[in-house]
Amino acid sequence: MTDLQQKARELLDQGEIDALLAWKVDPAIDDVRPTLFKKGDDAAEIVFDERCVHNLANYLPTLTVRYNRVGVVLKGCDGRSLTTLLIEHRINKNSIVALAPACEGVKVNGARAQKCDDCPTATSPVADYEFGTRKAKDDAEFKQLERIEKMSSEERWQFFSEQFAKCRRCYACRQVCPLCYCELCIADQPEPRWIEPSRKLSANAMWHLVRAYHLAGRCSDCGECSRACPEGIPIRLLNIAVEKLVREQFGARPGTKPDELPPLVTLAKDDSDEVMEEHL
Amino acid sequence: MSAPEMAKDPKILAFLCRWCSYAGADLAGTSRFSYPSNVRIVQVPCSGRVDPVMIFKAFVEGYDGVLVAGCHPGDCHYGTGNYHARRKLAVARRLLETVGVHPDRMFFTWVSAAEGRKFAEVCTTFAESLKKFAGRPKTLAREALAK
Repeated sequence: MTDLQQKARELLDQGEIDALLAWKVDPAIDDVRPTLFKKGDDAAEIVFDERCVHNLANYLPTLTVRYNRVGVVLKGCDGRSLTTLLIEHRINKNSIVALAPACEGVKVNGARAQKCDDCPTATSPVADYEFGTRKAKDDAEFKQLERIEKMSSEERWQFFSEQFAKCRRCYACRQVCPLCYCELCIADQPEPRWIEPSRKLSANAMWHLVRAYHLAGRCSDCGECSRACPEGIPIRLLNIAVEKLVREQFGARPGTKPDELPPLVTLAKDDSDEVMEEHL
Repeated sequence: MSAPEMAKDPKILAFLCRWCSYAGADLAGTSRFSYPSNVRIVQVPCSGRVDPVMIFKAFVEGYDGVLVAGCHPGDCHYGTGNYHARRKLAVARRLLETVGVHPDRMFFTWVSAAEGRKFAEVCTTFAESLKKFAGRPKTLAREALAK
């Protein structure tokens, strides 16, 4: 039994938590599946390896309503999502017990996920119990952005319009995102209709821009939007383009500091004035 | 499905704050400073009211350029609206830039109620600078209807 399984068993047996959200192997799909464990005896089935891609923070707002105290196994990126959920009062910290094993990175479609190369905190910043050694890393370089940054405006539009044209507007990117939780999404509101529901290129582009804007300074770069997209649109590129900006200009590193408001709901009088005056 | 082309005579949508920049535009008018007629003005209560979704929509609806002007830092009628605006606009610009809307198609600036001349200059500079795009694809704009 690993330390993680041992701790999970202990917490469940002692009644410290009512349920534990983790992964277990489902032979039917020959892969791991997010699973709710309720008995200490089942803890031996808990898996934590490179197959555990899902962001479990997404389930917590619902689970903490159903159970008094929920244990959860978090990767670094999931932990950053949870931090932002806590800051935004979506979840009460008292109803969560965070188990944070050191994450070695995950695989998507057999290859190491791109987000893992950019991950700033491999161990969750919210951690009641840590397993393995906490790895600190310098800031992400957002390597995938370099390709875009080299392009001219026309080339960028060429690239993104091809990608956006594929969008079927299934909103899987919205559903899978732990931080996209509005009860009435701007894409669904009938009036004013900012985003047309049809699958036109301009409407699709509008959706992706607005989605990325609403995550500005909050996105933990868990990469779930890109993974969930049935058309393989690299949705994450828009998020990291914004994350790079908020880090450079507002010094924000979303999800890493539990007491810091996201940069777009707060302000600083000494921000750079470049965006306003660069033409003059 | 072809993207429309940028016009020789560009259309500009301007979001002006009710307290400073709109009054500045008013002053430009009463002082009889001439500025290009390409600018269509939308009055907003504060530059902080300008949600980036409005800017995205303006480009989708076919505007060649978007101008946003508000009170100078420290002069906001509501205290801090323009500081919020500055952060939002920085993010909006980065997003649009990333998907291929040229950053020169956006012009964000501060115009006070006393700066009628500055407002006229801003409009002239912006309209002139947009002319260099004539004939290039109007990225993000709604698809041209089949003729």
